[in-house]
Parts: sequence; structure tokens; C-alpha cells
Amino acid sequence: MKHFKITAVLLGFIIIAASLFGCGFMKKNSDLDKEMSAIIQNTKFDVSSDYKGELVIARNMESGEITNLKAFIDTFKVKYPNIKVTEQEYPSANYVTTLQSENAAANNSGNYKNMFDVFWTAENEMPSYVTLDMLMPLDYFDREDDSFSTDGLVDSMVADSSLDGHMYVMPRDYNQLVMYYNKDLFDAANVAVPSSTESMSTEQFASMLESLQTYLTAQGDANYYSLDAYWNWESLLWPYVKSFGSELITKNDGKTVCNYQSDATLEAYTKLKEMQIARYIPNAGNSAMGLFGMGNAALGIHSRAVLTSLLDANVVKNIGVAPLPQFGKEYYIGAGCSGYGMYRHAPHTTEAWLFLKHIVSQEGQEEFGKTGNGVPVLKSALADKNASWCTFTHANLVNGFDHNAYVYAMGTDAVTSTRDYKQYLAPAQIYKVKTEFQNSVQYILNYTGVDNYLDKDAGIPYYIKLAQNKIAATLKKDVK
Amino acid sequence: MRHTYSKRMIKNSLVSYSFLLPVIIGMAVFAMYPIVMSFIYSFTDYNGSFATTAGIFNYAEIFNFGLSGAGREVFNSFKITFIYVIASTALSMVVGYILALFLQRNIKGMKVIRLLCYLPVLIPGFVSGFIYRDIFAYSAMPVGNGLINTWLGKLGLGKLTFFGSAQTALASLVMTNLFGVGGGMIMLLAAFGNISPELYEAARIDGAGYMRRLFFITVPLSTPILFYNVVVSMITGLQIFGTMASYGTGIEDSLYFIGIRIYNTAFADNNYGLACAEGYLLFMVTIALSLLLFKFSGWVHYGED
Repeated sequence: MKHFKITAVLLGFIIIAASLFGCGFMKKNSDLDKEMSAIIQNTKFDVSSDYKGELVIARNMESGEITNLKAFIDTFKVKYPNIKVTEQEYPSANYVTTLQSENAAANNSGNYKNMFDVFWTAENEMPSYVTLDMLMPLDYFDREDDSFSTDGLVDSMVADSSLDGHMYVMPRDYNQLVMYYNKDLFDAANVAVPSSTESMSTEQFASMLESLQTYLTAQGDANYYSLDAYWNWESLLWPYVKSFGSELITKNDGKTVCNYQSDATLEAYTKLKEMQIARYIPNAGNSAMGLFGMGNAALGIHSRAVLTSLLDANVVKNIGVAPLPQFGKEYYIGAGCSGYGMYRHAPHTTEAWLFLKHIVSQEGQEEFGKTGNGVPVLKSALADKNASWCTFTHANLVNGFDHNAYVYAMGTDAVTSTRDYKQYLAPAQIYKVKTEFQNSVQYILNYTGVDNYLDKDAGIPYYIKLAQNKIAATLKKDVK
Repeated sequence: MRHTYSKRMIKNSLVSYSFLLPVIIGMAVFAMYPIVMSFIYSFTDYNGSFATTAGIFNYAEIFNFGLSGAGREVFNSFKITFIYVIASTALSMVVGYILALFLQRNIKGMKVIRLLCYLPVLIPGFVSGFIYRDIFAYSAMPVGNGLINTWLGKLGLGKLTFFGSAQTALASLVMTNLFGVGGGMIMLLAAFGNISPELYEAARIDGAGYMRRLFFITVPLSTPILFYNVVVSMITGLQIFGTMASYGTGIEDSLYFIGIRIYNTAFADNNYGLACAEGYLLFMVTIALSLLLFKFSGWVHYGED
């Protein structure tokens, strides 16, 4: 018994001592400029193609990402044959949390030797990575490297890859929302397909939906709809409500405020609900655009990222593409990007920087374009009509599939992103605001009925007020 | 008195400890270390990567009921969790008991019925959550309704909101929990089996009817298991988390249990320090309620009493 007590006390003491003194989770105040100066000094910027080194990439095992990364790595290896590239595989479902856990473990031990150098990140995950100090500010590398400039990249995507004055992610693509159509269903309904060179007006769009639905309903199958879109997705919901004049977060007299409860938002949601009541849309949709993919919807709204999965599914045989239509009073298209970041404590910064530069190089972007999964972020590749992304073809695409729809109105004020309101939010607030914003449309489409959708206590006004109150409450919280 | 140890005793002790070592290491790494670390984190602003300051600010934040504090949300989650625990425990106790009384009868085919009643317990909670979500799905529109509402629609009856309304979501969850009463029921059946038949025989000879035998023999002698079920149900209820996979935080946060809030505070808001403080508050509440239950356990009839 005495032995046991002594052992237990010793064990407890060791654990507490190890917890208190042996762990490096308490971060000392540091000067970023000073830290970066040391990192930049240890990074070689004038390396030749025979540079010998090692690069570790944390690969997301999502099928599209495997293809994309392979395109970049294959061409990188040609450029730098003596750099050994190791890919660490991470299951897609836990990609973010696993990277964050590994970072926490490395921080606690103070040992970053076995960490990855480069990892993929979606635009909406960047603030969280920045909060956790997992991303290297790339602007320091950009300033030091005379051979590189972000001027050649789409400005709005560079802005989307930046936070608090630092660029944290090398944007990989230019992801603009488009409207896909199933030409076979259009032909059967005897409705003209939308133009790929000109966006539809609100009236033209409404008329097209009505004609399509009249035909689809007449077929007697209740599972067919004019339009499949993922409304519960801020990247689509934002340009939709904005086109009606709605605002989400703004800055007034230096104060961040929520202005979502407005006549504009009410009109936007009412129009959407009426589209559902008319059976043009089924519900809030899903991220994979399932109904369109199964051939049960004539139109689908998404980005370039879903194109190859739609084609590979081999269900819809005649897919066309058109610019996003005008929903409200003004024309807005949602756009965003994903990219690759350098780990904040990357063991091989020279190789990591070379790889990130390669992502936006002519060769890298050209190879990426060949996958069919994305539109390049490099302006020169976007302008080149013979570039691979623009000449990409497939048996299930309509004749004359016009890739220009993916860049329709690019560079104009019509292109908007969720950065419009996220720029005013602290990283810790982004998740809550996004959740309430997306919930509002889901509640309206699922839980308001034909009889009560305008009811102020149970209809659209109630759910807008709910979102407004929740978001306003989030803004009032102390943010560390 | 001074202990003296022979070489043989020391050798025996070493052998014993070497066998215990895997468990001790396991406990230290997977239980002690997280317990100690989360307690330390609760006094810092640890964000899942690093901390910069230390103090009692997380606990102050929990008890800050102003607009800038987390108090209102945290205690709202506690309120939802308490309502769930009370309703779920009470209902599952009563239904489980009635079911066990019915299933203890020795009639043909009873074993199969017992098995069928126990079967839902074998389905993992998060899997059954998805099944119930699809069965009870509600949409105000024709699309997106579950099995029950589709049937009701076909019968020309009004739809039930189930998880589609903040007013009925919690009640619906408590109701779906009834499919899991088989666990408590099996234990009650075992408790009934341990009651001496002579007691019933003596009562019968004395002219006691079914209800008198039930309330004066069966119920008192099964109170230890009932008490155990209440304690376990309360503790697991306070820690409820599995519903997040199928229902999220529920419509209008009607199913935003404290366990889910702790998870979201840590992993969505990257505020591990506050999450750990919330976790320790839940721990204290669980201990307090458990002690309270034991304090008022005079109604439990143990064999030797």
C-alpha cells in the first residue's frame, strides 16, 4: 500500500511538473519582423535548377486535390530534379484538425523537424490557421525575391489570400460561380440554352425557370427541378443577397455592425422562397450539386471545381456553362480561391518557397489547367485562349463549351467575395457569423411554408431577425 | 515500526509493478495528463497552438452575463442540458421499468421480444441519430420530409414538426431516446431475477395482489438498479454530444447542449482555454449532482438494510 502511495504521488508530481515546465505552449511575445528576418536569411533565393534539397507536402486525400497536387509536383520535379518531394497523406475529412493537432504537438515539444513544409488551404480556413500561427507570411519572401511578383496574379485572389496586411497563402485558382445546364433537358423542354457570353437578366432567368418547370412537371415525375444550387453556402448566398442590396457586416463610425435585417434581405429571401414554392428549386441543396449530377435538374450553380466530377459521373451527357444570372437589382458574381501555404515553422523554407512560386508559374498553372479542376490565377494564363484550362474538353461537354463563362465580368465590380464582410471580423468571429448567415436561408427554405412564409413571427422576417440578433451578439463578444 | 524488505519481497513487488506498468502508463498518458493539462489550459488563452497569457479570465468569462461575455450562452446550454437530462432520465426510467415488468413474464416468444427491445441499444448513437433524423425529418414544403411525415401526408393528416421547430426538437430527441431503454431494461430484468421467489410466495399466501406485490416487493428490491440507472443516465445525459453529428446544434440552437458548446468553443472558435474552463464547470456540476443524488438516496433499499 505504501509503495502504491509513493508511486502515485511521484507519478502525479512528474505529470504536473512536466505539464508546467516541460511544455512549450506558452508563447513569448515576439517581433514578427525580427523572426522573419532570421527565416529569410536562412532561405536561399538565388538557387539554380540543380539545387539539392527536400520538400514535405501535407496532401489532402480528397480525389480532386490528389490530381491537382500531382500536376504541380510532377512539373516541379522536372524543374528541380534534385529536390526530393515527400507527400504526407491526410484523410480529407480530418485534414484541418489533423494539421492543427500536429502543429500543437510540435509547438508543445518545440520540435519542428518532422513537420511538413507546405499544405493546402481553402480560403475560409485561412483565418483559423493564421490565428494558430500556422501560416508563414509570404509577403516577406515576395519582397526578398526579385524573380517573383504577385502583380501577375488576379488581384482579388491575392487580396483573398491576405489578412491583416500579410499574404499567407499562394492562390492556386480563380474560382467564380457559373451556371451549368443540362442541354438534353433544355432540348426536351424546347427551351433555348442560356448564352455563354452574356448574363441573363432577372426577368429572362425567371422566365427560363418557369418554362423549364412547366415541362418537367408535365413529365409527371416530382423529383425534377429547374435549378439545383447550394444556397446554404455563403459563397453563393452572399452574391445572391447582395444583388438585392443586402448588407451583412459593415463598419460604421469605426464600429463593426450587422445590418442584415433589412427590406433588401427580406426581398431576397422572399424571391428565393417563391422560387421554391413554384418548385423551381427543391431545398437548400448540397455541396456536390447532387440533383444536377443525377440529371434531375436542368440547371446547377457551382464553380469550376465540380466540373470533372460531373463529367466523370457520366450521367449528364451534354453539359454546358453560362455566366451566373442576375438575381436582384444589381449584378454580382461570387468568386474565391484556394491555395497552398507555407507552414510557419517549415523545416525547408527554400524548397517550400520554390514550390509556392511554381504553383503560380506558367508551367504549374498550365499543368493544373489540364486537370480540368480549376481556372488559373495567373493573369497571362487567363488571357491565353490556347491555355490548357481553356482548351480542356470532354465527351460529356456540349459542342462549343465556352470556358469564358468562368471569367465572365472578371476584374469588374460585379465580382464579389465573402471577404466583403469577413474583412471586418476577427478570425474567432468568422465561424459564428458564417453559421448564422447560412442557417438563415436553410431555416427559411426548410421551415417556412406556403401559408406562413411572410409571417413576422414564424416566416422569413422572423428568421432574418434571428440571424441579425445572433450575428449582432457575436460582434459584441470580446475577441482576444 | 521499521519495515524490512527481503530480496524476495522486493522482487515480488517489482514483478507486480511490471505487470501493472502498461495500465499505469496508459492511465498517466491518456487520463492523468489530459486532466492536468486541460486544467492548466483553463487558466490560459490557449488556442490549440499556443497561449500568451494566464489568469482566471476564462472562468470570469463564463460568469459574465453581459453582452460581451459567454455567460448567457453557456448557461443556456446548461439549461437545455438539464431539461434533457431530467426529461430523458424520468421517461426512460418509467418506460424501461414498465417494459421490464412486461418482459419478465415467462411466456412463449418472450426471449425474442426481449432481444428485439434490446437491439436498438447495439446501434451506435450517432448512427441511430442519422436514422431517426431521416425518419422524423420535417419540412414545411412537400420536399424533404421523413418517413413519418410522408405517411401522415399520405393519410391527409397534418405534419409534425419534430426536429424542425425549436419548440419540439428537444421533446423529439427525448422521444427517440426511448429506443435505447433496452439497456436499463436488461439490468432491471436481472434485478427482478435476483428477488427471491419465496417473498412473492409468502405475499401471495398473505393475500397480496399484483399491485401490492409490485409496490412492496418488486419496486423496493429493484431500487439499487434503479438508482444506478438514474446516476448513469444523469452523467451520460450531462455529457451528451453524439447528437451533433445528426442534428448539429438544432434549429435555433434548441439542441445546443453544453458538451457541443465545449466542442465548438475549442474546435470552431479555437478558444481551447475557455472550452477547458467550461469542461471543468461541467465536471463540477456533474460531481455536485452525483453527490446530491447519493445524499438523497434513502429510498434505495439494499439487501442488508
